[in-house]
Amino acid sequence: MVTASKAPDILVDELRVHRGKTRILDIDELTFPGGTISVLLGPPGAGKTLLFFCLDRLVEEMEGLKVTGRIRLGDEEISSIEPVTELRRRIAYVPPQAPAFPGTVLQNLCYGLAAQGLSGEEDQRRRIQETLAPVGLWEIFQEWREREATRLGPPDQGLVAIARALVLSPSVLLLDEPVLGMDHSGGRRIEELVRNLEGRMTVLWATRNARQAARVGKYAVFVKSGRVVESGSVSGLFTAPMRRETEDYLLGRNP
Amino acid sequence: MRWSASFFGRGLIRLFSSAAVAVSVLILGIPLAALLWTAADFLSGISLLDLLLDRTWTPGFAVPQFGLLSLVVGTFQVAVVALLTGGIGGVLLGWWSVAAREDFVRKRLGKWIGWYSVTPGLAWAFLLLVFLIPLLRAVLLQVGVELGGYSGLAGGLGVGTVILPGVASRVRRRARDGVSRWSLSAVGLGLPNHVVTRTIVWRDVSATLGPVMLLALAEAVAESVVVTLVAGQTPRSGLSLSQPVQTVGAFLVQTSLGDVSPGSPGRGPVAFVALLLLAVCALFAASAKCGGKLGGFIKEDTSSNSIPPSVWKHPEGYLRRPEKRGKGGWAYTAAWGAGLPALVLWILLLGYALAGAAGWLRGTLSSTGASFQIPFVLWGGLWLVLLSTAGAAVLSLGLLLCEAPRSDYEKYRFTQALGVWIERARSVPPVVWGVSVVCALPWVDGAAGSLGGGVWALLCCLLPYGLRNMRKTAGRVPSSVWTAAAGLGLDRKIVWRDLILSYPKRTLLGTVIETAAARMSEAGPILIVGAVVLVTFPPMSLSDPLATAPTHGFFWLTRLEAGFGGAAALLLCLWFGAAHLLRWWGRRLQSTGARSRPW
Amino acid sequence: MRVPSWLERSRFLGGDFGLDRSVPIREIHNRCGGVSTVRRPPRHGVHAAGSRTARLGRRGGLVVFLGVVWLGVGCTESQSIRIDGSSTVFPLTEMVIVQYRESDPSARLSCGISGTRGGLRKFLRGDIDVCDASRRMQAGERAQAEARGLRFLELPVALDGIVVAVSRGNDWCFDLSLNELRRIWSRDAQGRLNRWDQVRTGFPDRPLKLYGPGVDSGTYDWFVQAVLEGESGSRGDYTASENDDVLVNGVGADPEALGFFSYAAFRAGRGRLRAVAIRGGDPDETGSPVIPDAESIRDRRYKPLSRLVLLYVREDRLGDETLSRFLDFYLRRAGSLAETVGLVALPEREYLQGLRTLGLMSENKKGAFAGNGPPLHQVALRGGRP
Repeated sequence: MVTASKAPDILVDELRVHRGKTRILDIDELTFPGGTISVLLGPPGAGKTLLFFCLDRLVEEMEGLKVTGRIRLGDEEISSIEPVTELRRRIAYVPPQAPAFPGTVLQNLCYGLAAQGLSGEEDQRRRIQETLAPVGLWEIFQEWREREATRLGPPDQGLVAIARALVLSPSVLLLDEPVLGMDHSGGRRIEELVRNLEGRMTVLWATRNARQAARVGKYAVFVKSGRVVESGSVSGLFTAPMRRETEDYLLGRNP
Repeated sequence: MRWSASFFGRGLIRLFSSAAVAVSVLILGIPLAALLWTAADFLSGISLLDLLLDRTWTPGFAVPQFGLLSLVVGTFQVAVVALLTGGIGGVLLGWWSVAAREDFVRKRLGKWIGWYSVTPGLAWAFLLLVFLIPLLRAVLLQVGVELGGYSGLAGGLGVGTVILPGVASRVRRRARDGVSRWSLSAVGLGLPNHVVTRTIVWRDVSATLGPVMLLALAEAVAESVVVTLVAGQTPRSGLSLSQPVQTVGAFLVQTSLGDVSPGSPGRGPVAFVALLLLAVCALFAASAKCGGKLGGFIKEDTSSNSIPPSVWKHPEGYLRRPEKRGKGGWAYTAAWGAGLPALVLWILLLGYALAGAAGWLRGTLSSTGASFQIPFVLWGGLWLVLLSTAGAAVLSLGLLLCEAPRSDYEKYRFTQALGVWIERARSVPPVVWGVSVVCALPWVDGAAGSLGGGVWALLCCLLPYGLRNMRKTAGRVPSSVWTAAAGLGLDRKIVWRDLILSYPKRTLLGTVIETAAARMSEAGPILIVGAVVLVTFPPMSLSDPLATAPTHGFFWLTRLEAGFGGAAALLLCLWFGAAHLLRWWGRRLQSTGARSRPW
Repeated sequence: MRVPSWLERSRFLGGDFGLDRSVPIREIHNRCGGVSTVRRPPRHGVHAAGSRTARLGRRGGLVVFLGVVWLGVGCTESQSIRIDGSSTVFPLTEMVIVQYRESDPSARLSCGISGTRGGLRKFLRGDIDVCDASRRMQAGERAQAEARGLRFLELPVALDGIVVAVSRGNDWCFDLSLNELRRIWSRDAQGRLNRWDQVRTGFPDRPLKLYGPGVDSGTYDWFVQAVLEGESGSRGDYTASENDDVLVNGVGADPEALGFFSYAAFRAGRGRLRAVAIRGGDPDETGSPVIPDAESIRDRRYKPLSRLVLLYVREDRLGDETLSRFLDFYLRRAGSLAETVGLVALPEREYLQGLRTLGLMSENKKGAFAGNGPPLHQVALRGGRP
């Protein structure tokens, strides 16, 4: 079930990013369907994080980068959504190995809510329950509420980071390598969580691991050196890639 | 990994490292042992009840009194005033240099912190004595309070300005770490930048304010030279801030200006007070560390989560208030006002120094005896710094060579533990090293006050810092490199020679030079070692008397004859200019060394 | 997926995982189909033998250069003369050194201010050659010298007075009697006598802040001996500093302060201070109060606080030519220089006596400085260079 306001499509049109004279990201046309989990696959340095930065306009904070092109979130241009913090609330970005904020887990979740204007304890609690219960995080949250977030292990901190984004009820969730460095069980837990999100919001998951991409996503985009090499459904891409580069990457061959 | 290098090479390195260990232990251990022995000797001769309950501290007089209370109360008064002015001011300066919304304000405040940290404490004392205290006295007279020429309040202000840059830079560094660690995560969720700083980063910084203040308190208690100049030296146990007080540091400096050589009655009390100071500072440093652990000090990590500082330039992130026409915002005024004392001081200092230089060139300085002293003092200072830096570098290197990679931990536990303890000696105030060296030199005639004694004292101050910085530099070799080399069966010697020592050689040298430059302003230990010759010649051997710029500046600042003020300012400017150059050179060596390093 | 034949045959990625150390890195790179990052060894450092030699050569050269400089400056060295002691005499000694260096720039003279007591202690131990003293050696110190077999000379160089001073802002205290001084400074007064109206009934009820030299100072010893005769020491709760300038600054800034220091220091801080006239220097405590100045000190009218300042010299060091020349210069110049630093010059015959004493000790040395040079006043006329 996809509602237009809740899970919009993302359309990227003629997006070019230049640093000085060199072009570091070059996308002609790309669509991420709403309400589904799309996977960005590629080697390190391919431009996955840069694409995320373009999507939530963080790239404007970077020095020396010139961005041209249009990105549409549903029906709106993202450059027309003001203030930009509102855009970033709707397109929430979670960096790789996101560190926990100081304070308890509850305080971690409330930083964002307070910035949104929700400062009463009751209101905050209600909002957290509304957003976390449907995805199955409410029990874990009850258990961890008063624990010092910085003392949690990396898999748990990753979960807290995603929960931080979820309580803001974003329409798009950008996960930049969320299971980097985690062990198998921690990674699987996050994959389960994200699979629960399908249908509620658009999720973009960036990874280097092709197997994980196959497990999690429905649509996949393979990027390399700032260009989109191939995109399509996960099953199609992994069984019959059309480009030689995709095949080389999937089979571990280096030129 | 086993040694499989040639026996000769192995033996030479072993000899060098063992010699370094032995020499370091002797250099640091003998003074401390002598200090303990002298203090114990003194304590055995007086009653503990007197020590705790008597109200005056007059150990040198014919009927001596040993009431520590007056010293403790005086030190406490000065330290409290210092924390209230310099501590709080430092926190504010450091915090707003990261949290202010206007980019200009942040940059300016950051620069002021740099200015404050390079201003010598002696110059602050001079500014206070000559300008600020008379002004303050005139102001307080309106309210009916009589401020003496020397007072606890003045002492507190002086010490406060000395500790301010340390506090400010610690807070600033911590806040910047927090920003670089969390800003990407938080901004990605839609929080504006100022909210990120004032909620998330502030929570982290406020947890560390306790340890930062404790460290500042330790520095305030150990300050000796500035407080001697402005707080007066009256041992009283009253609580009035407008009267002169005597602090621990002032007592140490004042008594040793007389004589603390063997046979002098001042020796025992000085050793005891220095030991007390050592214990207090070690206690503060230990509790700061514990408090840091409790507050959740996170180790610095160099993960890739850092947004470049340009994140602060988006106008939405900083809701700039509309500027009033005709006036700048109050933030701009505050940004300039925060650095006004430093600016005024430097203008005055340079003005006096130029007047002194003009007098020197014209020859009018010669009547004060200052003219030929300036180059001699600088020459003596050069040799002092050179010899102690070289000694610290060689010893640190030897200690470092003893350390084994983690696979051989068992075998070299002793030297690693030794290294840890030497690094802990950083919290020993320099004044205490000076006293200890004096206590350790009774059998060499004329050694106290000589170049040798000064080198020893400065070496003790330098060695812990030098070792720590060298260790951090060499320790940047990732453990994965060690493991990889071990996996390939490579010699430990090859790894050390080719990877550890050849690339960071410059970096190691650079860190030692920078440490030396930072320690060059220590007048305290040199004063106490007896380097108080006011007329001197260039020292030609280790037993020749030593004079250094801080001590000469200390004395010339208070002399009433004309010309000495300018000469003092000139000497201080030259000396601190040299320290700055050394620091710049050390940093440059470090950065060029870093560039050639693969990790 | 096709497995290339080289892969099947490869020892690295096939079955055998033993590594051969002799294979250079580039070969491994080629065989494995590329490794994602390869660090090349940097150019400078270990592999460039020439640079290592060059570096060693540069460092060795620096060491040699510094050594040469050290020795070179040292080649011109003469014996060093160490002077230490009273901070009262220090300005005079300093002035003499400055002028002496003009005639003999290679002289190595150093002078400190440990205080008379500290200086005498060093002198008796043999650490210094000349001791500035603002009081004569006490019996105990002389006994120590006897015990060590140290023979020394006493050379008076100037007169000084101990001035009791208040700030110019103090408008009530113009003179004090010896009794009052005694009462203020005696040990019983510690903690008790700390207001002005306790000194004399006419004085205002304001706190009394005391400044004075520390126990290592000869000024302190003389003061105790002259004012507190019979007592073993003074009170201890005053601002004590070996440095006269600190005392002058403190007293000058505070109208409620009272301090004592040398006349030289008083002269230097004259603008802010006022000397208190002392009454009762005669045995029967009559007579008008005496203000300390050059005449009253020279005529010894300013009693009991005028005193002789002198040098102590080790006899066994008198054989050194530099030292005897320096002392000769000192005694010849002290008279004229004393006024400039604020001390009071002795009558000429005292300096001549001192020169004769020196001459006696070094009579086997011929030369212009051996005590048979021209008389002092002629030296002064000729501009100072005998």
